[in-house]
Amino acid sequence: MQKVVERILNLLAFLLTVGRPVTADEIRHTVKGYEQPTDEAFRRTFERDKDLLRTLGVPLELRHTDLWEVELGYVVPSDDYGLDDPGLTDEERSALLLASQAVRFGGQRTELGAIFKLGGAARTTESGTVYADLGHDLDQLGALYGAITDKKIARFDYRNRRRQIEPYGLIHRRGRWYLIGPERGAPEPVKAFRVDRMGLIAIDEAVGTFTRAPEFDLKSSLAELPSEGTTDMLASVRFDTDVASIAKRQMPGATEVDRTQASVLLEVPYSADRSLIGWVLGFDDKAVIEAPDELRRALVAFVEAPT
Amino acid sequence: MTSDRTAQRLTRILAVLPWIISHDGADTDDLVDRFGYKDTTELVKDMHLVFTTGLPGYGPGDLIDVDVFDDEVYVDAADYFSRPLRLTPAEALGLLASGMTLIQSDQASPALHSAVEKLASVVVPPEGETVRFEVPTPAYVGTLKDAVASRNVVRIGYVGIATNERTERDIEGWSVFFNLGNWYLSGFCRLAEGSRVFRIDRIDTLIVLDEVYVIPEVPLQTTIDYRPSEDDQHVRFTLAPSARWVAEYYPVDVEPLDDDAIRVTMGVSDPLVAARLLLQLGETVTDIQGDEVIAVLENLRSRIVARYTLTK
Repeated sequence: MQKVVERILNLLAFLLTVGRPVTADEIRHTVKGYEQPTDEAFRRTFERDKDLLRTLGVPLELRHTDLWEVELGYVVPSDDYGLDDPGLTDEERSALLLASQAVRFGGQRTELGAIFKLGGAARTTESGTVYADLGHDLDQLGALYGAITDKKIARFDYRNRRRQIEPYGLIHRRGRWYLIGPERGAPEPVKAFRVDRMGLIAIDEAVGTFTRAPEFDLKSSLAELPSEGTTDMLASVRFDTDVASIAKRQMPGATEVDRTQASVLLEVPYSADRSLIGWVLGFDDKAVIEAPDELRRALVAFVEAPT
Repeated sequence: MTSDRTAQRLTRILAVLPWIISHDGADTDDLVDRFGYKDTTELVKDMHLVFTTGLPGYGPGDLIDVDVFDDEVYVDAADYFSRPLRLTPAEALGLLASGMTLIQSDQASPALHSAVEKLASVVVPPEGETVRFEVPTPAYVGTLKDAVASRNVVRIGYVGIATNERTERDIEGWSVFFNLGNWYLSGFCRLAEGSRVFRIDRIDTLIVLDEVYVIPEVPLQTTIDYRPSEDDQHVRFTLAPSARWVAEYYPVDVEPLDDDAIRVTMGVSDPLVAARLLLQLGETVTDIQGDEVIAVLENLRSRIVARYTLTK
């Protein structure tokens, strides 16, 4: 490992100072650490080193070495290499470190490398009583996020079809990740794709290949879930006392209009019969619609219908 | 062989060097704490390695100049390493996601708010929001977290998910956590006399008692997974296209059918959970297979209809 670390530091020092694209051959003869005896051994070592640089986040690009465009060489654009320093204080770094320790991705912790790049932070032994798992592995999410920020096309298999998406954003909702963006060749302005249903994700190399539609708003882009919507009617629903406070919490627009020892009557705003019935049925036989009468009859008919 | 450890070591070296350079030298103890070194020896080992690298020529004037004193480190002749590497997309997302999740959950200090704001200003492109977290946070999360930290027993009113029955329970809370869209409290339940996990949005009353409990020796459950078990009831049914969202929200196996319908196999530990869902789905579900669940479903139907007959 020592040798690899030394060689990479030498290679990176060279690429950051040379100021022009350099060929693999020039690297082999200039940088200390590439004394491999055969072409094949050098090629293998150099390929691995390039992968390692990219893993670290080093922007390694191939460019023509001269105006005649005969040869290609490697270059690390120094503007892209360095971190745009967000200017964090030690307190802010520690807060980020604690947050990154409290959150997992599919059971995995995030690496400390990101905090190191920002200047590091002393680790405290927090009791670890709160933590959240955001469900999906960070490698895949990171690849998609990179496609979003660099405006690269993302390709993946989804419901038996290969898709081509201009990725606009990621949403985490109720434990699931969704990628939002227009699908090339599809009529909808944007679509949502569940990340855990994607197969064979590939991100194009080309950067800046689309422009995000100016009217796009990530917040309102994911279709609302069933039972949400605008409300204009009121239903009276009587709940057994033991489930009443849960019902109130689930329906913030509800008002209590009556209370007895055994039950609580709530007035609940709703827009569609069907979604209100579904919600009331979630309380089994502990909730009864009292009014309007059509709604009450609709629920009974719904329950009695054979499946 | 390139290993993760090699990458981790390089990442750290490429962060430590800019820190030392931009601060004109640094205190070794601070470096050890800040960059998570085991001890000074480990830090010094990295610094000695850096000392053997530099620019082509690799003579005394080309190599990076590192001076390690008892309690201070200086680095010279390495201006090309004066800036830390940019964050990879995964790193940026990981930090933003972690910070934003805690902010959404009302668990954030003012320092975290400002840190996430500063970070977003350098990693989020100017067109606007690129990542969004919708983490619902039940009111009791903060209080429960505090009670767990101080090991106070909590008395909760809890409406069971499977049963819809309300019980009062005294809990010795071990952890509060968020998983797959919900917040949970895990701990020792004195009513059940065993370890239990409770969904916090189903807790309707909460009293923090003065009693402080002694933390048990056994390993604590701090997470929850849906694990298929041999005791699970299985039910199979067909969903019309309009109800396909069910497959997005429940852990089920899905088999596509013609006309965009799907055939779903669902395993549940309590048949009532499946029966309630099937009832709510109404006519969008057909061809139910699974005797136990069907029996519970029919019982549920007649209980509800009986309730309506009684009240009118």
